[in-house]
Amino acid sequence: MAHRFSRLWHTIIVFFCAMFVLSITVFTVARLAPGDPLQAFYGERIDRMSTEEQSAARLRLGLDKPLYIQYIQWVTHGLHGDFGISYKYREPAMHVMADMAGNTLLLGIASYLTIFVIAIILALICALYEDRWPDRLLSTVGTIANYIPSFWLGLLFLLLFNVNLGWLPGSGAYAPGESENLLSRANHLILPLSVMVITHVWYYAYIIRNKLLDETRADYVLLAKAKGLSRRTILIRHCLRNVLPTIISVMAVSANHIVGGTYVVEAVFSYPGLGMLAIESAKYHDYNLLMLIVMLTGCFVIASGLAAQAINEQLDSRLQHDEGQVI
Amino acid sequence: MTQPTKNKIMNSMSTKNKTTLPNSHAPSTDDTPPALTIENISVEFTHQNGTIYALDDVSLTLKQGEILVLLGESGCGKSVLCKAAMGLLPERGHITGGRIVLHPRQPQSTTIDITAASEKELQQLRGHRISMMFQHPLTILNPSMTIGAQLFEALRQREIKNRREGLHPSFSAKMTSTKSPHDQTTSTKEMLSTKALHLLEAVGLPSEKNWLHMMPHELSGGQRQRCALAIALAMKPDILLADEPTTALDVTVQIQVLDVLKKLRHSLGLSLIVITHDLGVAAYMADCIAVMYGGRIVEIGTAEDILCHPRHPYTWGLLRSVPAKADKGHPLHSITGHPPLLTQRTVGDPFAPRNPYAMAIDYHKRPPLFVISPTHRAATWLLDSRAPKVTPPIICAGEKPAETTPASKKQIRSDTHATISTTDAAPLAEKNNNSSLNNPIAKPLLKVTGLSKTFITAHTMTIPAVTDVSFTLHAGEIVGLVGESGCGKSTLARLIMGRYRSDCGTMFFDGRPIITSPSQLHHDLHPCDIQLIFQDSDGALHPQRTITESIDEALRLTHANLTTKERRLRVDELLSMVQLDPHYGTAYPSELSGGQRQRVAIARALAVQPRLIIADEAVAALDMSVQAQIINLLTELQKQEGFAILFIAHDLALVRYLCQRILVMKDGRIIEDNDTEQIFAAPRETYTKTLLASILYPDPTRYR
Repeated sequence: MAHRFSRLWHTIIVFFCAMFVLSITVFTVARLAPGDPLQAFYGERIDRMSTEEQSAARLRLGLDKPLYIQYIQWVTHGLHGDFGISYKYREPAMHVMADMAGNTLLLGIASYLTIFVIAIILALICALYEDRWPDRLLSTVGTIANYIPSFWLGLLFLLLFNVNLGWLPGSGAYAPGESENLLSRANHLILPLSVMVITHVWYYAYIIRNKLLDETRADYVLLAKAKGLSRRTILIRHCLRNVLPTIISVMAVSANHIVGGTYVVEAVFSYPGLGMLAIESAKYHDYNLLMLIVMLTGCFVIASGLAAQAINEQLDSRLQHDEGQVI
Repeated sequence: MTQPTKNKIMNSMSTKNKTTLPNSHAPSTDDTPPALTIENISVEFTHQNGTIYALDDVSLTLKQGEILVLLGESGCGKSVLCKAAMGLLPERGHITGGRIVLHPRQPQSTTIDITAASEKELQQLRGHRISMMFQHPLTILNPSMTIGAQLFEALRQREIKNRREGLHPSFSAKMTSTKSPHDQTTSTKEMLSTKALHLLEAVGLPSEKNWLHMMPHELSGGQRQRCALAIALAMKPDILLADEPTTALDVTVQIQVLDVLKKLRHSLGLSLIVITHDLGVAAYMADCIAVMYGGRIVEIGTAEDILCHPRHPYTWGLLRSVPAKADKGHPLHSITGHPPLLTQRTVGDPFAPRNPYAMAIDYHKRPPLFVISPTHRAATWLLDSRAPKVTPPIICAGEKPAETTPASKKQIRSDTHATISTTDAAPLAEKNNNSSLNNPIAKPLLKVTGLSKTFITAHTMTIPAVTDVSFTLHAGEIVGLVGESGCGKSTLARLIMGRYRSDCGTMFFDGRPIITSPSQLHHDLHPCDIQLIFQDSDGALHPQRTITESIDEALRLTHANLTTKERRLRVDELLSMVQLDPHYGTAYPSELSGGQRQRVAIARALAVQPRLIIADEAVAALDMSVQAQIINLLTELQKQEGFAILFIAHDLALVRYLCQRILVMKDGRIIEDNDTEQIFAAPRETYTKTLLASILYPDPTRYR
C-alpha cells in the first residue's frame, strides 16, 4: 500500500515540476516575443496614451518590477483563474477560452477515439493477412493518405462535399442558434472528423501493425500455435494483450499530435475551437490569451503522459517492480 | 578413389540396405506401428545473404510409445526438424523435399502428410495429435497471462477437439474463436482448475502454491519450463516433441521431469522425441538415439548402440568430451574446429574437416548410412569394407563409478578410463599434473563468517536468501559451489562481490576486512582482484563496444599508469591467453559465438590480474565440446596465473572433474563442505545424497 502512495506522490510532484518549467518557458517566451506587453493590455488604445499615462499604466500593472516578480504575479493571478484581459475580445481570457474549449474537446475526443478504434482494426487485419493482398492494399492506401496534408484534404473536401455537392456544412460547429442541437453538431463534425481520421489513422495503425507482427514472432506464440490455436485467436487473445501497453503509450503520446491536428483542421473548416483561437491570438499579439491556451494545452499533454505511464504500470505488472539493487 | 569404385561402394550399400527391413533401428519389435515417419526431408532457410541448408535428406521413424532422442550440438538441425514436423517453421524456412507422415493412433484418425497439409489442417492436428515443448523457458509463456489462463486455454482446446471429432472443420473454427472465459460456468471452471492443478503436480509443481494465479515473471526459469510442459501435456498429444526439456533445471528436478515424461509414455502411450545435447539425459531416456551433425543424421541406433558401441567419429568425440568420463588432471577432450556454417551444400561429409580419421573420400563423397546391425547405422566411410581399421577410442565402461549412488547397481571399476589415449592429450595432461602438485598449504585467501542476507519484497515479504554462511577459500584453490536454483548461490556470489549489502557477517580477503559486522562494507577496500564470470556471456558484454574496448575498460581500472598503446598490447596479449586471435578485438560481441564471448569474458576478468574468479554457471549455456574447451582453458590459466576459482554450477560431474573441494548449499545455508572425492564417496547429508543420485551418466545400461 505504502508503495502505491509513494508512487502517487511521485507522479504529482513530477506533474508540478513539469508545469513549473512550462510556465517559466511560456512566460519568458511571451515577454521576449515582439510586441510591448503594455500593448497586450491596452491594444490600440496605447497609441492614444501619453508617455506619462503609459508609465503610470506600467507602474499599475507592475511592468516596472523585475521579471521574476512579474512572473510570480502572473502565476498567483493564474492560480485564481485570472489570466488577464484578452485584448482582441475585450473579455477576460478565461471566458473567451471557456467558450471555445467545448468545441475543441468534442472534435478532439471524437477524432481521438475514432482514429484508434479504426487503427486497431486496420492493424489486426494487416497482421492477420501479413504480406498478402489485404495487408498490401491497406499499407499502400494508408501510406498515401498519411502523406496528404490535412489542410489540402480539408480544402478538397470543402470544395467537393460543401461547395459542389452541398451535402455537408463547411464551417462552424453548429448551425447558427442551434448549439444545443446534437444532430446539427454531428453534421458539422463529419467533415473535420473525416479529415482528421484519414490523415492520422495510418500512422498509428502502422505502429500497431508492426508491433503486432513483432509479437507474432515471440516464443510464446509458438506455444500457442502448438496448442492448435488459429492465427486470429492468437492475435486477438495473446498478441493484442501484449501490444496493449504500446498502444496506450502511443495513444498518450499522440494526444498532443492529435490536438495539433485539430488546430489545423479547425482553421480550415473555420471550426470555432482553441486552435482557431490560438492562431487568431498569435496573429493579433493577444499574448494573454495565447499564454493561457499554451498553458492549458501543455497541462493536458503532461497530464496525459503521466496518466499513460500509470495505466501502463497497471497493465504490465512487470513494470511495477523495478527491483532496486541494494547498493 | 575412381568413379567406378565409388559406384561399387554405393551399389554394395544399396544391396545391404535391401537386406534389412525399413525402420530397423528401432529396438521394439518390428511390428510396432510407426507414429511419425520422416522421409528424406530437406529444409532450407533463405536470407538476404544466401541460403542455409539446415536439413539435408533426413529420415527417421518414431514408433508408437517410443522415446527417440535427437543428439547434437547447437545448429545441427535438431530443433528445425521438430519444427518442420509441427509445421511451425519460421517464414524463411522451406521444406524442399521429402515427406513427414503422421500416423494415426486411434483408428478414427487419419494418416496425414504434414508437408502437404494446409495451415487449417495443421491447426487441427497441433495440440492433440502432435505437440511440442519449446526451448527458452524464460520467453515461452505469454508474459501478460496467468499460468492458469494459459493452461485452461490448452485444456479447453483439447475439449473442443474431442467434441469436434467428426464435425466440419469450418464450423469448429468458429467455435474456437467465439469462446471466452465468461462462457464458462463455474462448475466447468472448477473442473478445469482441478485438472490444471493435477497437471502441475505431475510436472513437479506441488499444489500448495497458487500457481494458477501467478504471472510468468514471478516464476523461475525451471518453474516456467515445467509450466510449458504442463501446457503441452494438457492437450494429451499422441506425439510430444520436447526441445531441451530440462536444460534450465537442476539435477534433482531434471530427474523428476524426465520421470514424468517416461511415466506418461506408459500411461498415455505417448511417443516422444527428446532433443538434448546432454548425453546423460539421452542415456536415461532413450530407446533410440539419432546423432545429428551439419543437418544430417550421422548415426542412429538404440541407446546401447550409440552410447556403448558408437561407430561414427563425431559420436566418439561427443562421448569423450563428457566430464563424467574424464580423469582429473587430464584436459577434457574437445572436438577441434567449428561446426559447419551450412551456407553451402557440402559435397562430402560435413564432419570431415574436424574428423581426425578423415580420408580423402570424406571430402568428395557423402557417406551413406552403413548398416552395422539391424538396429544400428552410421554414416562414415570408416565402415566401408576397404577403409583402414580404426580402433574406437572409447567404450562404455570408461566412465567413473558413483559409488554412493544407490540407484546404480552396476559398479564399474574406474581404472579403465585411461582409454583416452589416441590423441595428443597425454603429454599435456602430464605437464598439468606436475604443476598442480606445487600447491603449498595455502593461507586463506577469502574468509567468510556468518554472512546473511534477507530480501524484502514490495509486499514486505522477507526472503532469507543467504543464512549464516561461513567458509574459507585458499589461494589457487578451485572450489565448487553446488545446490538447486534459488538456494542462494548467486546471492552469495554477489555478496562477495559487494553487489549487495549483507545483513550481518564478516568477510576477509587476503587478511583485509572487506565486510565487518554489523553490515559495514568497506567499499574502498573492496579489491579488484575478485572477478565474476557470468552464465550469460551475451548480456555480460556491452553490445555497442568492441571486444578491445570492453577489456580495455577493465585494464584502465587497475593499470592506470599504462599508456593507450601499452594497454592495447596487453589486450592483445590477454586475447591470445584465452586462445582468441587478436584480430577479434575489433569485433562486436554479437559477431562472436557463445564460446568465443565466454573467452572474452574470461580475458576481461584476467585483465585485472585477479586472485579469485567466481564463475557463476560460466559454461552451463555452452555446447558439450565448447564447454570442454572453456573448462580446459580455465584450468590451464589457473595453473599459469594461480588464481582461485569459486565454481558455481549445477553439473555435478563437471564440478567433480574440476574442483578439489565442494560446498553444498541448500536453502541459503552451506550444509556440507568437504573434499570432492570425500563428498562423492561418503556424503553426510541426505540432500547431498539426493543430488549425487540425480546425476545422469551417459551409460544406458545403468538405467535399464
